Amino acid sequence: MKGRGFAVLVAALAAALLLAATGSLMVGSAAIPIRRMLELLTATGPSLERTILLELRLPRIVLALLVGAALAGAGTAYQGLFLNPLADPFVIGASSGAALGATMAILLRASAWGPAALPLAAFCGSLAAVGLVYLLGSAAGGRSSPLTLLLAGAAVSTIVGSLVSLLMILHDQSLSVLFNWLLGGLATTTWREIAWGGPMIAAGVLSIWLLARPLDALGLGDETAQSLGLPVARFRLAIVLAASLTTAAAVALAGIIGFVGLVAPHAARLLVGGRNARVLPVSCLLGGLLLLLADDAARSLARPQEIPVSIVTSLVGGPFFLFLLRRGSRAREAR
Amino acid sequence: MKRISGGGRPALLLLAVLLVMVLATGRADAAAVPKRVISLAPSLTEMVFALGAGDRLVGVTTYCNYPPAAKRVAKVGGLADGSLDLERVMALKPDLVLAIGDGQRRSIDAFRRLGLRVEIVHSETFDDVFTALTQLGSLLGREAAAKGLTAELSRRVERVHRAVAALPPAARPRVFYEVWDRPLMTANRDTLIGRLIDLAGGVNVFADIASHYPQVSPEAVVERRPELIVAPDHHASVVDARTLARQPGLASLPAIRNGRILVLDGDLVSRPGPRVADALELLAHTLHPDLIPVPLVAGTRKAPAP
Repeated sequence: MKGRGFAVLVAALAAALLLAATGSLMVGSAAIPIRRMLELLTATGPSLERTILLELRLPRIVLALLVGAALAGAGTAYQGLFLNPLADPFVIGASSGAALGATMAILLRASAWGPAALPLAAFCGSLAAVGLVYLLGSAAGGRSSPLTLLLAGAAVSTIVGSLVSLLMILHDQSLSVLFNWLLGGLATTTWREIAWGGPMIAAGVLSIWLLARPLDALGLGDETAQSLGLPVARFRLAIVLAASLTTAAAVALAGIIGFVGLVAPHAARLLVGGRNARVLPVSCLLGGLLLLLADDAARSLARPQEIPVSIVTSLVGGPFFLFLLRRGSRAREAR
Repeated sequence: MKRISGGGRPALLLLAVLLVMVLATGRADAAAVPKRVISLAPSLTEMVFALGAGDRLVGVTTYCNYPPAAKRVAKVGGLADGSLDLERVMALKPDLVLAIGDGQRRSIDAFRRLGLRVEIVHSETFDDVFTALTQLGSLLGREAAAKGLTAELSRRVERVHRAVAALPPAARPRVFYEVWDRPLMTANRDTLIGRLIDLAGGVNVFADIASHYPQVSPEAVVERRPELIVAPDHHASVVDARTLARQPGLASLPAIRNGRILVLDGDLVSRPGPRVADALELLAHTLHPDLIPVPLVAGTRKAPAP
């Protein structure tokens, strides 16, 4: 795809995103007609409809865009780094680490210290698990290869996951608390959470984007990248850091939302090819769009009941992934 | 034997039947007044104590915290199959195990295979309380106590009913019961708390939803404009009027602005036990202080306005 075509695509996606975001303002369990909405936005007096629009719908729209972009960005980074189409933001332990952090916070009754304690603990747990995977993965055999990282990730995820299960069995009254928290969702977010989580996600995604070219080189394999004069280990660490910061912030804000980080990079590569500097922005825009639409469905399909958004993303993402799988196997047969 | 042959046969049969009957009634007598009882649910534990048979409990669940004496009874595990300690139950040599059934099937089967007497006392809804008390009364040989207690509970429920029955819909405050904060969860009309809100002369704003404890969107709560918010005293952390008001969007609700918040002991409205009348009177008093002028029940508190 030429530079011009790429710019048009990004502009079109951004426009679609803006349109979807505006449209999402009208989606919800309370029916607010467009004309009334314009009145409300310009009016100053407090009213319940205004509260619904500005304190409930708008923050969750912003959060959907942020978290969708974060998961898609981290997914792009990990799929590029591991040369593995199955990699997602949680592939090297981010979700099990977050679960352990949240569990400890719940068992220590940390929420008494403030509403930020639980997400903060999940954030730290997520970073700690990924850090551990990185240390173990790079210690194995002297230097890290994508494969040892992936294997260490699987092992650490299993160990941390069973620790979580053990803690929860020993304190089964807290089980539902953790379950509810992990399922998460975007419904009960506040501007304050977005104010601390947003910049973190922005910084993470921007770092991944700055690392897009080294990521391309790493995609050629370690030897080739090294022969190009790339300090492989250092760049790999930088990419893992940026991606895990992004993932941890997303998990802390919205719980564990599956499939967005897996599907968006694939779709982006179908549209713009393999260069990560192009894949990343398209992937982030698609991820934001996907999560936004999924959340619209989550809050309106069964209203006034709310469906956990991760169920919607998995319902949409699962079939899409199967579709990619079939395409892939057909391509191999043709060879 | 030879001497009673012939015409003696029916006599022998009669003797055998009599013997069996004596043995059976002897067993039934022993079983009718169990001395070592294990309760596998907090609601059943409360009822056993309320019937004056608390001293016969030798084992309860870790959640059995009321009355205070229940905390001193040996614990045999949690509510559900996986968390029940079968060996502990056996070691306590119970002559009666009281179960609620749901989620305990595997343990119940195991206990019965091991020769224990297990009785399932269904206790889920408001009306279950009355049948469960009667059933427990006959199981424990406390029929009179059960009769007295159910009569007293009925009287208290009837008093509230008479006070609020004639209220027109407009005079019934709209109530939101917040089961959980993140995600936001509530209860429909088929739950114990849903029924209590109805009986207390309120309108549960989410009565109509199909699932018992649905997750609802915050904007649906705002849209339905509850005039009273009721919440148990614990979610992930301690709940009070301030934490309720801090939730996104809720601060603008009439209930929060007017400080119409009732934070109560969650056990009171989630356990179909002998305290349902306490819960009902507390709710009715909060909704209609002029009609139900009762003092607050111990173990509950009204949250101060934020």
